[in-house]
Amino acid sequence: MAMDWIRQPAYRLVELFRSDPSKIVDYVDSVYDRIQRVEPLVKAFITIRSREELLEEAQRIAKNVDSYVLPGILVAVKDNISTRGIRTTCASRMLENYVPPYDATVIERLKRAGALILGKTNMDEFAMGSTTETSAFFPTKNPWDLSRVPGGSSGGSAAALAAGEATLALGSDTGGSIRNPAAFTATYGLKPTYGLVSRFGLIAYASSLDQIGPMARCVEDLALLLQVIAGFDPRDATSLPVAVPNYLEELNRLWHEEPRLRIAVLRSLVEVSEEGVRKVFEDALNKLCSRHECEDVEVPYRDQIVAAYYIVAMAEASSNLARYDGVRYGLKTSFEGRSWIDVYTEVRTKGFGYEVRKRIALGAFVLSAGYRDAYYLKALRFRRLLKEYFDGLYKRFDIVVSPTMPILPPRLGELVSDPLRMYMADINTVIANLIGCPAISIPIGFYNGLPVGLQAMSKPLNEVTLLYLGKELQESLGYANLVSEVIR
Amino acid sequence: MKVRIGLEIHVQLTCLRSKLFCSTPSNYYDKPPNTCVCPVCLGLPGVLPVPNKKAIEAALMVALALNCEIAPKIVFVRKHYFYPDLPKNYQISQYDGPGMIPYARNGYLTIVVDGVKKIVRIRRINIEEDPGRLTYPTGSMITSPYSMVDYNRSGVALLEIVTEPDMESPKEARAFVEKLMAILEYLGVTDTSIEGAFRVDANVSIEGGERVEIKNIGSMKDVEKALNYEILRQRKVLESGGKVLREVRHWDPHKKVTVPVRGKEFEEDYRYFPDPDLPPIIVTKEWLEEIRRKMPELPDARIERFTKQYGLDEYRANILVLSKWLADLFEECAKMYSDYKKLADWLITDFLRWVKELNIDPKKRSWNPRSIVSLLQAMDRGLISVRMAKELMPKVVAEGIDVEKFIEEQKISKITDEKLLESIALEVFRENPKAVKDALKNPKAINFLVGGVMKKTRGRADPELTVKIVKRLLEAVEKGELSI
Amino acid sequence: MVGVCFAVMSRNVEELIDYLERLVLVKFSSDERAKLAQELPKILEFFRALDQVKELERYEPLFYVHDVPGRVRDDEPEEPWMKHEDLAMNAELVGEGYVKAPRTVVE
Repeated sequence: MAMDWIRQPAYRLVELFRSDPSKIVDYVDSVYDRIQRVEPLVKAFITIRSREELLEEAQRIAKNVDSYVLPGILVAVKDNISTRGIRTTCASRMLENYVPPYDATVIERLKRAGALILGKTNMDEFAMGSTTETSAFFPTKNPWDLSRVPGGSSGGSAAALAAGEATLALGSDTGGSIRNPAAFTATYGLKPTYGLVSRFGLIAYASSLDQIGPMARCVEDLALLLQVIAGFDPRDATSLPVAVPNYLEELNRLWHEEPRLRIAVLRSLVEVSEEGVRKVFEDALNKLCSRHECEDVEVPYRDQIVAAYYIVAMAEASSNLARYDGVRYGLKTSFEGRSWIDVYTEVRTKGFGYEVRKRIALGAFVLSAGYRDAYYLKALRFRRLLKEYFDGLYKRFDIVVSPTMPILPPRLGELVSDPLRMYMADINTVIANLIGCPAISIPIGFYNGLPVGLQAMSKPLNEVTLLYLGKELQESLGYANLVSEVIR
Repeated sequence: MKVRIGLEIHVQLTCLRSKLFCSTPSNYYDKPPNTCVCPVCLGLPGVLPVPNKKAIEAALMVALALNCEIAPKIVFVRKHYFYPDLPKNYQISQYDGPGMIPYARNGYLTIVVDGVKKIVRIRRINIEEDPGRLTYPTGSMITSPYSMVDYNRSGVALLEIVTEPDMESPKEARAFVEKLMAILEYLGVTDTSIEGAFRVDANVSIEGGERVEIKNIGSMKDVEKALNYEILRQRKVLESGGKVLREVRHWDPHKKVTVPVRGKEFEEDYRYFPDPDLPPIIVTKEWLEEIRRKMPELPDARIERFTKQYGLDEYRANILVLSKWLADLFEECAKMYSDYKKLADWLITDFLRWVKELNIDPKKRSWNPRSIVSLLQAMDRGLISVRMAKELMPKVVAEGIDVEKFIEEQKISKITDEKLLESIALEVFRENPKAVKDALKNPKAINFLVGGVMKKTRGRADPELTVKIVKRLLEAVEKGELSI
Repeated sequence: MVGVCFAVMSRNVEELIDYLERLVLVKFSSDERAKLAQELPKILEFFRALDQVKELERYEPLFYVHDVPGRVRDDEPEEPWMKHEDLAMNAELVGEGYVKAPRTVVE
């Protein structure tokens, strides 16, 4: 009987390949066939490597399966993670032809683990968006409903998983960019503790908020991929010098010990969610509360959380994106007889889309001499207030839950046209970035055929508890290894 | 009209082997363009900075040497402006503001000008990264159709040292820079002889005028020259009833003038904020103590020691000490030669003059103290004259040879043969009857006759003996015992 | 300071946009300007929600999310591996390997 390579979780594939390395080639071929079939509909990738190249690498790895953690596993990588020799665009005209001369730390680690970099996935331009519609190239479609967005900004990675075009994926999360598309595509996504995964090679959006994280179709794969990418990196001064636990072992240990968790429910965030989201969330919550201690808690502020997040993110973005001037890399134009002001203005206007230019301008505004105190510093004060509030919660609770997104996946064009509504949709997810704690999105069901996710947060470096909760929901609700049929 | 001068000095920490935020070698000086670069110092998308420990230690050492208050944390900030030499279009630097602080503040430095001591206050010191270097295909910014960037220098560690406007003359400004450079050299953090290792910006104001900033002064001599020029220019403006406006001017080291830099059409807003990629580095008491222990003797302490240990006056001690290599040479010689004052004089006059004529970097070669001492000893013992010593110095010192042996081999000792000297002196008398008459009236005029003897012996005549003989012959002429 | 003269929600959105364009070196087309002129005041107004937080001044700005001291590296140089070819993948080189850039003179 032909093996169903598309739906297999990575941890099972690894076992299979260890006993029969020749199967790696069959697997790569099958996934590649699948891509050719569904990619024209989903449009998850900006760059896909050639079948020949992948097969060649697969054969090399097959000779030595035992020395790798992820031998031959196909990983889709968000296109803001630097890959040596593979175009890395950030879904921007600015970097349309940029080929990095170096690998991000996470890419080095994936390669050392024997994983195959399948290609680079679509995203919101420079990760600035929640729908993958601000990509300068094309929007990605939600594999569960092609008229809807897959979320963002790591929408390409999430869509690739949900459409069966990759086994694992890397995303990046500045304000929910992993969890939001995970929730919209019925996949699993984890934003690690700030500093757990090296940012070296992640093209910065907002440095104090950005984290690279794993995306997968089941909790075990999330743990497996996190294991490979997590850990101290001397090239990232914000990287935490901590020992990384063995996530899969720890997950299994907890799974057997079945500890009772103290769970806080961010009630006001549930209440303001769309009806469909609320319904699915309450069902899942009931399951959780039957085994754990649940208690409703309040979030002290709402608009302020989103405001503080966007101020910080835009301020840092305006700085991080200053380097794109078309001189060392990026969009080219003629320099002859023209001043740098002239050339830079042209390159940056043509190279950046509207949303990016808008955020850069706003970010510069909130940092400028007359306004820094009223905006930027206030946002940072609020950031401390929020952190202290959640530090308090984490003393009383192991886990804090809410819906990942307050809305169901919107139709293309629906959200992006109203910026404030789009920004407010990030309220549940931005908290974890503002306070640096880990957060997971777990698929908990569908409403009218549209996926709903539950977000769980916990104190810094407590990823294991999030994985445990994910495993419990995965086993009790059964939403594991889902792949959409992708119907036109 | 009172002049006030403040300085802003950028110094590279040339003691480092790698750049401030990446492991790329920092000795880019003779490398072809863009061969000392990596993704970090090119500011490629996705890179992150990691600070160089030794750079921080060197910076702290400088702050201690300049008597500064040191911040408990080293906070790096981003300073934003667009310019083609700046890879990220922001510079990682330091600033005073919310969540930000320069790593060192409120220091001071003592200078001595014309025997007068003066304190110049240091406002702050920043540690920051150097931008790349711009060049132009035609050599001129104005006529070139484009510019060319070499990023080899990009990311090299710099200190920006800013003084209060405490200096009142170009001479004082130069003395400050010289003293500062001496301190940096003693600390071993900066080799100031490397081209481009330091750059000075100066701001000058004359009573009744606005502050003018002069950029791009590249040498110690030019500090004085540029300021002299600028003060003269401002005086002329004021004297002719004009106004000195607040502006930025550029020092042109070739034409030796300051020229206005075209005003920026748009006022800068640098949008400083703490660099989120660089959590502040904690400066612990223990770390500071460890650095303090490693610090060498500094110029002020050495000057004081020279006055006590060698009995030198402050003036001589100052000149010796401010050139570390010269002070080191002095101390080596002083181990073998105990007339310290004579040694010091010889070194800071004849020796230093000759070294300057050589047009070489004296730090870059080794000097043999034994040959210098042997020269002085040969003089003391009357083997050679002062003039001979000066003539011999290049050969003796440059080749590091022993003077006595040399004299022996060359048979060039002083002529002490009285008869020979007398006959030479007679010759001089006969050739210069007018000088003889002068000498009879004015005893000071005998120098001409003595000089004549020296000339004929090419300086080898024993000077004291010659004077004796000339005097004796003059007496004889006066008494009529000798006619010429 | 040019920016200071803008009262935040002022009539002068157009001037604010001009100022920001020069500050970050971007331009907005006339369509984009029209849209931005709508969005900018709304977004800035929304940001002012922070003014409603009581006793916010009691909280020190949080610049770094973890209270972990900054790290340093040893001064060990690594041979530069980037060659002119690597640079030339994305930049235009001229002369002996200079990166070509625009003029540094404002007309």
